[in-house]
Amino acid sequence: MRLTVAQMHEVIAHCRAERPNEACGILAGRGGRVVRVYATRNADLSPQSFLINSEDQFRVMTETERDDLEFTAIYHSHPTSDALPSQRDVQLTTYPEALHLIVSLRREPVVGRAYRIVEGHVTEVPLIVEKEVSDVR
Amino acid sequence: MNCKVRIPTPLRRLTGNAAELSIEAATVGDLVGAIEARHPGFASKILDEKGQIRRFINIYVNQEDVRFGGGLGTPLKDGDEVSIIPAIAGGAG
Repeated sequence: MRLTVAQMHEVIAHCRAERPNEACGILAGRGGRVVRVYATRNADLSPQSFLINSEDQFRVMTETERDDLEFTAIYHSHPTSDALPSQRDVQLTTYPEALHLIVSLRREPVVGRAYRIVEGHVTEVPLIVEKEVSDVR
Repeated sequence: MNCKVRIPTPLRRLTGNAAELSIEAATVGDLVGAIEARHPGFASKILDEKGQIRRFINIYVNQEDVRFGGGLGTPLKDGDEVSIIPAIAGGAG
């Protein structure tokens, strides 16, 4: 999956802001490239789990369908553990087309890793963070 | 009442890949039953053993989450749009 430096910063800032709780959100895009970052509320308000607020999810689904965007990835933070999918992450996966970006805040610098999780099988996929064209000289 | 039902990707293997269904039903509960009649196995993914909406399933009629309204008894009218949405959850555990 590909996202810009600014988008990655937005995700990390959201994850830091929600600490000590987990943060969660949806990265909408096309063809594996993120177009929009949706920072959603964690209905669990927990340091160890997340549940995307149903109202937020409904709004994101409505907007992405309207704008012909896909769920490129679902992101969440692990405030005190590594950026590896937990058993809970694997068990509760519902949208097989969406990748999973996990941001670990366990130590600095923070670590982000992306995975495909389908029917209990986990595969790490490349996470490509690109400079915006306007940044390239 | 004829309603349009939005089926997100996780449930489409139960509806023959249909992203949208047109269903006649008077309430949300009837609607789940009508989809079950057409696509056996669907209701058990939406309702628990007690016949209540599962924790990780959200059902919206137009813009309203039925969990905060009439639940499965929520009445439907012609042209309503029903969205059956599996929640997104996980975490470090």
